[in-house]
Amino acid sequence: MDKRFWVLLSLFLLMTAAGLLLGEARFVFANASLICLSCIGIQ
Amino acid sequence: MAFFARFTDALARLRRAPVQLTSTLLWNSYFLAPWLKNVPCPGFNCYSCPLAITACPIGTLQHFIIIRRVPLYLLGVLGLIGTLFGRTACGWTCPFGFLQDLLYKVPLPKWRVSNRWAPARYVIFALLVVIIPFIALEPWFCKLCPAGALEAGLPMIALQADLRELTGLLFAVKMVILALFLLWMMVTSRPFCRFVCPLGTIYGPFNRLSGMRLHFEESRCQHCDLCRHVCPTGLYPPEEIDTAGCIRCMECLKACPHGALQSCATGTSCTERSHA
Repeated sequence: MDKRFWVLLSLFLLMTAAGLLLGEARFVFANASLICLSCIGIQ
Repeated sequence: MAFFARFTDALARLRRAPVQLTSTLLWNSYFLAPWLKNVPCPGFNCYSCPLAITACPIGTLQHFIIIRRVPLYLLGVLGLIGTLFGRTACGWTCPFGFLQDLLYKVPLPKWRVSNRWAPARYVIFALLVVIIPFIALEPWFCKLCPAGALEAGLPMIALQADLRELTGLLFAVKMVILALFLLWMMVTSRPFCRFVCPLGTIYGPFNRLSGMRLHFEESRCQHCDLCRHVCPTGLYPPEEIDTAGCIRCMECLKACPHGALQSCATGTSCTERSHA
């Protein structure tokens, strides 16, 4: 396999794991649980 | 890795519409798993849609920019999808892509638009997803997004009477943009994917780096141009297969009667698709 493929795969796995450990999914995606007024078109 | 060649070959044998329909229903089945809103959707699907099960990656990216945080988790997940499959999600699992494929079937005179305008999506990405949200602290792509207008604006206004009183100029602008795009989708194949989509803009460069690859075998090509006629993004596959504009729908692989277009895995030899 291409070396670049493995480097990218490792990098993005690391980023995903780091983001999860920092709690990004919990607190930032909390925004997505609510309605986004911009998406609806309300100022 | 043989997995990618086999996976591509399996995709090339599948009919795309049932997969797209299943994906669209899956990403919009909130009653099944509302906790998945913590996961970015691989395709373009508004998270304010009352039925959306996952988060819109572009909306999320803008919110991270607004709160001045590097979105490690989001970029990690999008990077993983891109590294493994390139833009395959665009061709197979994106609900907005599926809508475009359906609308293009409307029997109207067709308008072929040159891909010379495709770089516009990089400008739109830079301005509306990154620069303006960073400065204005508001998700300006979401404010103008036609997918949001269709999946969130219309149903939410229909379902919640109190929201109706809050609509104004922005809502009107959003509806006009939606109407223009719906009309455009009826006459031009996949215009949003080709000229606007910020998610496709992120996935695009991965086509040349991903595990899953497509390959053109020049010695087999009979220059019949069948592949050009079936490409939904208006590419010329012999020269542009696997470029950033390719959504890996596999229509060219299916159409080529000579096996000139093949599935492949990065770093390995290509596997010729068998043709009945």
